[in-house]
Parts: sequence; C-alpha cells; structure tokens
Amino acid sequence: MTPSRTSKLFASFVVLTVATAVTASAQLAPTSTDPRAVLSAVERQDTGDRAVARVRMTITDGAGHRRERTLASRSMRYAGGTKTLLFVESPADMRGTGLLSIDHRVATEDDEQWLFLPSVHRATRIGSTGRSGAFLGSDFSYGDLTVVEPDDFELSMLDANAAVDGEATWYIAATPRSAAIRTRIGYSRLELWVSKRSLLPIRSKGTMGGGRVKFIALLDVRAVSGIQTAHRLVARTVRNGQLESETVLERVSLRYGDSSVTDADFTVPRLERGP
Amino acid sequence: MIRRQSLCALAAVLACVAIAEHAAAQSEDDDVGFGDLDTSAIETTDDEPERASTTYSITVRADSAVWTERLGSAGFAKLRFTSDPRVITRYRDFRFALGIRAEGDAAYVGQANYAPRVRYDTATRDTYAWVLRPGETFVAWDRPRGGISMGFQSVAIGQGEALTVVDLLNPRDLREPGLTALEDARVPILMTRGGFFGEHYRVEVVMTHQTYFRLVPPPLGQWSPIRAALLEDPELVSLGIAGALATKDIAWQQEPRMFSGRSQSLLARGVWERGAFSVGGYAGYVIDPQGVARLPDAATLAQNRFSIPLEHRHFGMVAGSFAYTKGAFAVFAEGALDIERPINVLADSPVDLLIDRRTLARWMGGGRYTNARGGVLTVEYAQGLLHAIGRDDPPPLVPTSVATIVARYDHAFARDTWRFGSVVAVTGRGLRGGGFGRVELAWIPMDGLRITAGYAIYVPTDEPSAIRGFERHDRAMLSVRWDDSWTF
Repeated sequence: MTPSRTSKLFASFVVLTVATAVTASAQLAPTSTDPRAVLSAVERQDTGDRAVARVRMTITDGAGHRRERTLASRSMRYAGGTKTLLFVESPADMRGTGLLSIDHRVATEDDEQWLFLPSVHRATRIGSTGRSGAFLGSDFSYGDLTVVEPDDFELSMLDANAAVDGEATWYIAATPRSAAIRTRIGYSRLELWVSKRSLLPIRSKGTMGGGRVKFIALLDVRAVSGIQTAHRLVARTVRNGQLESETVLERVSLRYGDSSVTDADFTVPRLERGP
Repeated sequence: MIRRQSLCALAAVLACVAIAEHAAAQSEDDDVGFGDLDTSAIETTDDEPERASTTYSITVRADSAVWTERLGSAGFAKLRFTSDPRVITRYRDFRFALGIRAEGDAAYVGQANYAPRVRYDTATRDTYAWVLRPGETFVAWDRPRGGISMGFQSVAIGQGEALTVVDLLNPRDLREPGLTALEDARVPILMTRGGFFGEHYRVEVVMTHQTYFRLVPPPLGQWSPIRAALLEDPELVSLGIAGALATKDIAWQQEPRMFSGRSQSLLARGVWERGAFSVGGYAGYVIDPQGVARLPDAATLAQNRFSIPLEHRHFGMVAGSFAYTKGAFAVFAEGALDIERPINVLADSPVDLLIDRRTLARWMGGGRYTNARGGVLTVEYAQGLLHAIGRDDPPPLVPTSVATIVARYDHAFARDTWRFGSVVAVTGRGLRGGGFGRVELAWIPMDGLRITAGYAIYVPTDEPSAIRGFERHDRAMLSVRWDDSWTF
C-alpha cells in the first residue's frame, strides 16, 4: 500500500466514524430552501466522541470478483478537530498497516498524518494529497467521505422536498468553484440528498471524468448512543449504464464514549506498536 | 440562406437527440447506481471492538531470476524460497511476538553440474544458499506513555528511506545490492528498547546485544564491488597477485562474534514533532556496520581457502534529523558526525592494509511528492565527507566522499490490482561510479497473492562504487508471494 492511498483510507475512516454520524440535536428548519444553510448545518454537526469501531469493506469488481478488508479504529475529538488511529486487520498482506491522523478543523491547516508500514518498521510523516484517488482499491475516495465544504461550491436547491425511500430530503446540486477544487475532489458536479431527519447526505451522485458516475448511499441509519449513524455505505461506479465496481462498508462494531480512548492513543509510538 | 437554415434545423434536431440520449443514459446510470440497495439492518455490536487476540500469519515467497547477459552459458541466477511464519499475541499490557525467517536458494544449493548454472565458491554458497534466523521475536511491556521491549527486533531511526546516515543499529541484507526490497533490508537483532513519550515528543534508549553481518557478499563474490577492485587493479595484475587471487576461495571472518561483550551498542534518541515539523537528535556508541579489514599473514594468504578478518569496531556518533510536510510534499534530512570512526587507509605497499580512525561527517536529504492519484515519487541524496585529514595522513581505501542519489516512483492502479515500482540510482565520487535501474510490475489477482515481474540493469564505470564490476549483472525477475493470517 502506498502512503498516499493509505492516508486516504485513514481520512475516509475518520469520516466513517465521525462525519456519517451526527446528533439528532442538529437543528435546521425542514422548510429551509437555502442549500448553503443545509450543508453548513451538516458540516457543523456535533459528532460522536471517543469512538472505537471495526468496519468490513467488500469490494466487487465488474467481473464479480470480491475482496474484503477489515479495519479497526479509535477516534476522539480535541479542541482543534479530530484525532484518529486506524489499523488494517485484513487482508494478510496489509495487516498491521496503521495510520495516525490529526485532522484540523481549520481548513487552512494541513492535517497531520503518519503512516506505519510494519514491513519497514517505520512511521512516516506523509503529506495530505488530492482527494480524488481511490483508497484501498475501493470505490470510495477521500473526498467521498469527508463533509462537503460549502464554500468550495456553487450551490443550488433542486428540490427542497425530495423523497428518498420515503424519507424527506433536500436535493442539492453542487458545482466546484474552480478547476483546482474539481481536480481535488474528482467531480465536475455533485448531487446530494440530505436527510431532514438525520442531516446526513444519505445519497450522493458525482459526475467524474471519462463518463463515469459515482453513486453513494448511506443505509441503515439509526441512533447509537443518541447519535444518528449510517451502518452501511454503498459506493458504485457506473459507466454508460454498466456497473464497473461496487464497495460496501459495514460497521461490524461501534462504541461511542469509550473511556479507554485517551490522548495517549494518538501518538507515533502508539502507532508503531501495531493493532 | 436556405442551406444555413437547414443546417440550423439539423443541429437543433441533433442537439435534441443528444440531450435525449444523455437523459436516457443518466436515467440508466441512476437505475444501476441507486437500484437494488440492501436496506436491511446490520447486526452491529457495541462490545469491545478491539478484543484481545492472537494472530498467526505466514508469508511464503518464491523469487526467481536469470542473468540476461549470460543466458547462453549460465543464466540461472536465483530461485529463492522464503518462509516467514509469525505469531503475535497480547495479554494485558504485554505483547509477545515469535517469528522465524527461513530461506533456501536453489541457484546456490547442490551445485550439481547442471547447465546453465554458475559454479560458485564455498564462501558464496555459505552466504546465499541457506538462511535461518529469528524474525521479530520479543516481549514488550506497553504503558500509555512509555514501554520497554526485549528480543529480536527492528527499529527504524531517522527520516531517510532508501538512504540514511543515522539508522545504523539493525544490520542490512546486502547480498544483492539494488535488488533487496526495503521491507527485507533490515535484519532483526537482539536488542532492548525503553522509552517514554508525550503528545509531541519521544525519548528512547536502544541497546543492541548482537551483531549479524553475514548477509554481505564475500570478497570475491558475484555481488562484491571488491572483486573488480582486486582482480582488475593494474598493479595487482602486474604483480601476478590478481591472477593468484582469482583461483582462491575467500570469505569474510566477521568480528566480533554474534554474541559477545563487544557486540553491544547504545543509542539514545529524542524526537519532537509539532505541526508540519519533526526534529530529532541522536547520540550513541555504535558498531560500525561497514567494518575494517585486516590482511591475514603471508602463510594464510598463500592458502587456497582462507578468511579475511572484517572488524566491526565501535565509534561515537551524534546526529540530527529534520522533516517538514506541506500539502503533497515532504522534505527531510539527516546529518551525522562519526567521531573517530575506524576506516581502512591505503598503505605504501599494494599488499598491505592499514586501519586508522577519522572523524566523518555524513548527511542526506530528500523529498517526497504524492500526486492526486496516489503515485509517490521519492528522491534522496546522501554524501559523506572526511574530516580531520592531515597533510601526511594516507587517503582512505574506500572513498568516504561517495555520493548517492536514489529516485523511486511507486503507483498502484486498477483498484490496487496492479502496482508499478521503479528505482533509479547513481553513485560514486561525484556520482561518477555508475548507476542502476529497476522496474517492477506486480499483479494482485486476489487478496494475499502477488505475482511480480521485473528487470534490473546495472551501468557501472571504472570508478570505485558499490556496483563496480557489475557489467554482466542485468537480470529479469519473477516472483510469487502469498500472505495469509488467522486471528483467534
């Protein structure tokens, strides 16, 4: 696994444990028609803290071949953002690969990320990279799983009362403000369906280059310790009506407010100890 | 005018068709993208997700190669089978690891007179045919802000990846210069580590209790840069010494022994990391991994088979490291001062060898760039400088001012099903010693299975360097690797 790919994996996992979980206390009038207000509310949400989780990721390519990865993480909030420690548990050739990330809430600060490869016994400081690349060979990219920063997009409300599987949503279109943002996130246009109940973007559709479209669905959304959490995420890459590949992420276990999660977990020496 | 109107109408019709087709494609995409989703509830537990466990894992590899420039005569270069079984478990604050490395290379085993096969000398066969050594085998006591561990371990020190000037504790596998993967290069040895750390700092003391320098090519081995230096030196050739040496079977006699009072070394490090910066300081009394040679007496040299003592003596080292990361870029550097480091120096006679101690300054710098699609480019440069050389001091036998530059590019694509790796290196005084390149393409048809094909090319010059004499060492490689693990 290359550092950049693993860093994306890490970043994605941060969001898996944080950004796809929001407290029901997040308030926004269901009648709002301002797309920026909706996405700002999504971005501002109070998320779960001191989370310990295990996720199973199943990747199926167009020929039907399946690959499975298992990831374990610990994460916690701090004054400036979120800290996460992540380890790959399977497959065997990636086992023990670890990532430590200090995510700063302030967008102007680069996140701090270290990658530990057990085969070289080294934790390497890695740079934050573009968000458009796939991580761990999956359909997800860094950008897919991070909260959309509203200021990066021209927004329009396509339907303030769209229904997705019977759930009321805001249907919003987002177009990158610049070519640099488009390159970074990998989409020329995004469509989002934000649930009015959970304030989670339960469906998204991103137009990529080469005629590809990526669809992401957050499923089995329910409260864990009072926090609305998506337990299954499905990403599909489609081209000309044909499914190229699919990735399903499922939470195997999850606990918020775990007292064993402390600041000491988010250090390079801890990363080098392995899972 | 009519024509223009017709064209406009045609364009409008085509546009309508295109829009209709686009809408149909969109609808088709949506049906596939959002259709048939599994909305059932997942059985998720909130039990302790990070339960205590024992993991058994194994890596099995077969690495083969042919000398492409010797295919007609003796092209069979390598058929090495490697096995790495490992167990790791935890109990409360303790970690236990047990591992072993076993290797056998059919190109060096048996030596039956099968063509095409090179017939190697005994010293070469002893080095390359079989390896059996401990893998990571240790017990560690982990506390939230510190810990201690003892056993056969590997520790990476400093910031350099392919090149480093401070990471001297673990011996390296130097049998095939330029071909050993980074993950195979470091050999675990018996050591004790202890330290404490905070959010932005770590302090650690490492004491090694073992030497392990057997994974180096023998003096006249295929991969020894000394081979060409000895056998092609005009003075030695004219004296007839080179010709006499060529018929001999010469090995290194590594000193001190693997376990002895002189096999201990000590290194302390402190690292401070904050934001984009990382700064490290190191001080130690370490064993010279390169070693200095002593020539045996004349009677020994006259024998057909003998060993040359290669002494790994201690020296003091103070060093520092630095790293800075910004966006997709990272830069890093290391500097070290070797105090009174033993080196071989030239004597008046070409058949004599002297040992002296000198103070050396060494440094390396590098950068890494990660592109948006996950490709990683790393460039590193290292340089050694000799200090405290007086007017009458004899020059070093092996140039200490050697520079090396290494560039690597790695990229995984097609959902990590394919991985491309490449390395280019140039070395020698003033980078005039030649260079080598290597490309590899790995196919991962399923998790755990990796099939890699590659090619390496060497372009040495007559200047002293680590690849001198490698004119006919180009090789094509094919390897198969299988990883598996079981957790209970």
